Amino acid sequence: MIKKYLHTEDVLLTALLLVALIVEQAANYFYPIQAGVYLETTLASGIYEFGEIVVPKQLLIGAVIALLMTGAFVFFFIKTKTGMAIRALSQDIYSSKIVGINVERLYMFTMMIVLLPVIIGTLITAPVWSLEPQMGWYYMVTAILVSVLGGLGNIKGTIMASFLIGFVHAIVCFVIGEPRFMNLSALILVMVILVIRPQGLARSESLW
Amino acid sequence: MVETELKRDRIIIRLGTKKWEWTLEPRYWRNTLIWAAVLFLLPIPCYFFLPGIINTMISANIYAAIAMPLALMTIGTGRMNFGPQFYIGVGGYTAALLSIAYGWGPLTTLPFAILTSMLAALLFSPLVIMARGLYYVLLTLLLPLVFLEVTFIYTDIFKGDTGLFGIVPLLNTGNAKINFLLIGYFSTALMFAYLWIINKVLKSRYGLIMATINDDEEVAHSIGININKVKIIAFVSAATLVGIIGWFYAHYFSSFAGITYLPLTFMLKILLVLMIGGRAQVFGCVVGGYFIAFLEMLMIRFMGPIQPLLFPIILLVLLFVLREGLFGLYRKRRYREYLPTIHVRR
Repeated sequence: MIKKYLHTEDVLLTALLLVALIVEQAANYFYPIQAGVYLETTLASGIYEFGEIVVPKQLLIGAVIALLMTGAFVFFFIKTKTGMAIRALSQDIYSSKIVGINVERLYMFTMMIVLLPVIIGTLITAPVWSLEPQMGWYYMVTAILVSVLGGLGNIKGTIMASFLIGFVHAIVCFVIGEPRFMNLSALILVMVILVIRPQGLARSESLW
Repeated sequence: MVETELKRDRIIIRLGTKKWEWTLEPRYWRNTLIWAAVLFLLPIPCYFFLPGIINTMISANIYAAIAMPLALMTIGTGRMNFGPQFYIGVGGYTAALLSIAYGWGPLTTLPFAILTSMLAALLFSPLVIMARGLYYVLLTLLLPLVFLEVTFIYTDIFKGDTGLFGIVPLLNTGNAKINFLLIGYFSTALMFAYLWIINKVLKSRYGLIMATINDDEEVAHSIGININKVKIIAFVSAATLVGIIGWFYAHYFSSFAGITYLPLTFMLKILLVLMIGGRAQVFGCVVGGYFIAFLEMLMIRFMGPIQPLLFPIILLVLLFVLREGLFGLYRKRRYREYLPTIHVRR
C-alpha cells in the first residue's frame, strides 16, 4: 500500500493522521469512558527516594527498559543487515531495489517494529499515568519536536534531541515550575536551533 | 485611448500598454455560472422548507474558503502546510478579544484581524525558506497545537477551556431565520470572492511563477525568479485570507474557542476538503467543502453515535479511491486546468 502511494506523500501523511483519528474514535465508541483507564501492568510498586527527589519504581524501571530498547534499536539499525536495509530504503528507494531489497516486505516489517517501543512504553506508564483515547496526540507533539530537532531519519541526532527536549521539559516543569509551558518552550528551542542548523542536530539520512 | 478588438472567442480591450481579455466562448464560463446560480438560489427554497440546510451551506462555504488559500499557499510555497487553522485562531481571537473588550462590531474588528494574521504569518514566514519538506510539514502541524496550549496557559485571557463569549454578532436583524439566510449569502459571497481572487492570481503571470516554484524551485531560481520573495508573499497573503475566516467564525457564532478550531481534527477536515475536493485545485476546494459538510451533516442525522467513527473511515477510503479528488472526475473529461503537485518531501 505504502509503495503504491510513495509518490503522493501528502496522501500517505493525511491517511496516517486519519488512521490515528479512526483508532481514537473506535476506542471512544467501543469503550466509552470519561475517566482514564489504569492497566494492571505494574512491574514494581512503591517509590524510590533520592534525598528530596521521589520517583515511582515503575517509572525508574521504565527508564531502564527505554534505554535498553534504544540500545537494541541502535544495534539493530547499525549492525544487522535488515536494519541497514531499512536505512538504505530511507535514503534511496531505487538504489535499494537494485541491490535486491524487498521493498514491500521491508515496509511492512518497519511498520510493525515501530509499534514495539510505543506498546511497551504505554504498558509501562499505564499504571502511573492513565490511558485515554486522545493520549496519542500529546505524545505526537513531543515525538515531532524530537524528530525534527534530531534531523529526520538520523539515529544519533534523534537520541540527542530526545534527551535535550526531555531536559527542557524537566527544567521548565520542575526548576521553573511552569509545567504548562513545556511544549511551548520545546517548540521555541526547536525553532531557534533550526534557524542555526536548518538540517537539525545531525544531518538527516546520514548514517550515524 | 481605449481600443476594443473582437476576436472569434474573446474581446480584447487595450488601454495604452495594458490589455484585458474576456473570453466569449461559453464552455469557459458556462458551468461556473450555472453552479454559482445554483449556490445563490439554493438558500431561498431552503429558507422556507429546510432552514437547517443553510447552516450546512455556511459550513461548506467556509471549509472551501479555508481550503482555497491553503491551495494557493501549497502552490506558491511548494510546500504543504499542515496547520492552516493556526491563522483561524489568530484572526478569530483578535476579533473576539477586541469585540468583547471594546464592544466593537465586525467591521471594526476586521482590519485588526487581518493585521494580526498578516503579522503572525510574517513572523513565521521564514519557515518557508528555512524548513524543507517534512520539517516544514511537521513544524506547521505543531503551531496550532502549541497555540492551543497557549490558550490554556493564559486561560484568563483566551478562556481556553470554555471559549470567549459575548462577541458582537455578524448580523442582527431581529429575526433569527433572516439572520441565517443573510449570513448564508454572506458566506457564499465570501467563498466566491476567494474563488475569484485566487483563480485570477493562479491564472496570472504571478500564478505561473508560483506554479514554477511548486514544480521545481531550482529551475525557478535558475530562470531568475526571486523564489524567497514569491514564497513569502504567497504564504502571508494566503494566511491572511485564512485569518479572515477566523474573524467570520468569531462574529458568526458570537463565541470563539480555540479547542474547536485548533486541534488536529479540524485541520484534518480542511486537509480532506483540499485532497478529496481536487488535490489543491481551487474549484475542487468548493466541491470538497460542500461534499464534506453535507456528508457530515447527513451522517450526524442518520448514523447516530457511530458517525465519528464511520466519517473518517469513509474519507480514508475516498482519499485512496479518488486519486485526483472529486473535481478530478469532471476534469478527466475537460483536461485543461493546471494540476498542482503537492510536495511533502523534496
